[in-house]
Amino acid sequence: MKLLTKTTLYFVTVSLLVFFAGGAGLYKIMQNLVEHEVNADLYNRIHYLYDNIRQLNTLENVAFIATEPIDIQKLNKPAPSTFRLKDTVLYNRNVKGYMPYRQLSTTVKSGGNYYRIRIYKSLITSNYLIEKIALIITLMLILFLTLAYFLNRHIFGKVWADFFDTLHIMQDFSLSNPRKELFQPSEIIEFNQLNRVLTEMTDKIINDYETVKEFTGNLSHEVQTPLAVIKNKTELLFQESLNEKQYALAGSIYSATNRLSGIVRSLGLIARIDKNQFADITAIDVKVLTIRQLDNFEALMTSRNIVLETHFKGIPKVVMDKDLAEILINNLIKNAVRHNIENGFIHVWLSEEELIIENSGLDPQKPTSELFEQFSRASDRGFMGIGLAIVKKITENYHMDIIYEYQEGVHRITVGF
Amino acid sequence: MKLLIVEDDHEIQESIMAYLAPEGYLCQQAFDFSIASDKIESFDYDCLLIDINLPDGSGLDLIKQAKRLKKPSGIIVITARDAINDRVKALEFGADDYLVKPFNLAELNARIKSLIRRMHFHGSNFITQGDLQIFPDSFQVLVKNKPLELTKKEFEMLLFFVSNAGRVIAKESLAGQLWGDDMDFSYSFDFVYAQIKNLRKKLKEKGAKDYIKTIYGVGYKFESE
Repeated sequence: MKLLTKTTLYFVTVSLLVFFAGGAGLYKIMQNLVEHEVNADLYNRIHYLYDNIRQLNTLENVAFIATEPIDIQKLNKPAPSTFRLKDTVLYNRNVKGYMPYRQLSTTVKSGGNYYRIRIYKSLITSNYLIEKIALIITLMLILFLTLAYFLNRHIFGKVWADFFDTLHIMQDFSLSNPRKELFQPSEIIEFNQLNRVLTEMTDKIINDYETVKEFTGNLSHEVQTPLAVIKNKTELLFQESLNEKQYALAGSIYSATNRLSGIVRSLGLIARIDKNQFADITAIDVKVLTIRQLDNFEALMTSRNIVLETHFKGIPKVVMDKDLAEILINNLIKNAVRHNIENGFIHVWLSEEELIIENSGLDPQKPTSELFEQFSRASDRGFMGIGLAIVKKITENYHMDIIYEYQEGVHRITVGF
Repeated sequence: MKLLIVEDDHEIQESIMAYLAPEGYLCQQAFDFSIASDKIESFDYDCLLIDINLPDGSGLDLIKQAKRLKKPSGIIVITARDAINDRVKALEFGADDYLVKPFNLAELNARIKSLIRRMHFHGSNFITQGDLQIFPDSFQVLVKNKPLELTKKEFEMLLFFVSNAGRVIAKESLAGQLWGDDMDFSYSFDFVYAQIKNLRKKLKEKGAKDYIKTIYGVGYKFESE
């Protein structure tokens, strides 16, 4: 979820809650106020009538100055003079319908007679008032909410602009091509702190990376001579008349030295690609190269009953270093042979746009993207899966796309030129 | 045969000398550029083995020097793996072959023999080993004067064996010989094993001696006797 979406969502949720609770509360308060007002008015009037009727002992002289309906009835038997409030409806001849009224009734004794007084007050106007006020409040709140929403977005954009600048700079950051990116100073202290921390961190990472690169480069170079010495001395040892046990020991030393030499060489190769030491670029005929490499592995494929199928289309040319092209194709095909199964297959499609190599093989038991990592081990056969790390490095170097897919026993690597 | 080995690392020098000793060459050593330069100037060698990276100069200049003096020597250069430019230049200057460090001695031996063969017999040469006759340029093998059909890989392997006759060769060296160096995963050894089995079978069918002996834990040995 985006930062803006998240804050907007929070804002809208809280605003709506406040809006409904506040609106309902306000409505209730207004209703109470109006009701209180109506009741007070009714009491005023009934007290006036009550006093008049009681003092005058007759109804004749009571001044019925009334804008609202009044109903006075003579009772046959005495009744207590209690006041009772009630909501009711009365028929209105003008509008031809029942209208809401509040009724206040009591009984008054006047000249030995009991009278029931009922006075009314129309609720039409007060209800109308409440409705209108509620509507105005609602409209105001909606307006406020909309305004606040857009204002929030605007302020968000302004406040977080520096943050997004930083984010974009960091997204473009690449270790293989580190540029000194300068963050713009921000008005916001926290963002300046963030930028400072990021600058320190990337400087450290670049520095460490350079050191490691330098180290692997030097290591792979320096280590080869002692390795050559061990290798050659072991070969000389082979020529002595050793017994079986001694041969086995010397053989192990030789194998291990060879492997070590291979690993160190691969690391050195990666370091050299990183350092852009393959600047010699020519148009490479990938078809010729692929056929040559496939020929090289043909006998090995035959020995394991691996069926090879090739589909060539057009004359694919790729502009890159000759040695790296050789290493790239060699490693891809070697990988397809190496991780294949007895009686398996290898299918190669080569066109001017892409090279697809498909081979049968066991489940790698891990996400295919991890297979490109240095020292990832697809299985316990063979040594480090550094070959694919080299492939990845070369394709990165020339901005080629590479995809590794695995589905039901079929491995497929696609290289887009 | 007179050889000059120009290599600044003493241990590697010694190893090369020790490995080549049974071949009966007359080997001379040079540990730096100036000594090598003097020796090339003063003597004629059949083969120069030159490490490009020398403490006081470049092996490339030694190639130039030998060529300028019209020396009849074959030249094999030894380069570091990342010095591809050196390799290209060395061949341009007239080197005949190159080896990349770290190389194995069996490989070096085979390369020297092949170079000497090419220089001295101008293509019409063959190698006799026991009852075998091998024609490196036409990929033909005769067993007791009868032709032996071999695949390309089998032929390469036999030639490599014969070049290192009497030596114990590691299976890694054989696999490297067949595919280039970093093929040391189990199938390639299985394949080497299968190839050697076939080769032995074919040799046996033609009535040749069983030359190839398995050295457990290491590799193989082509018996010269």
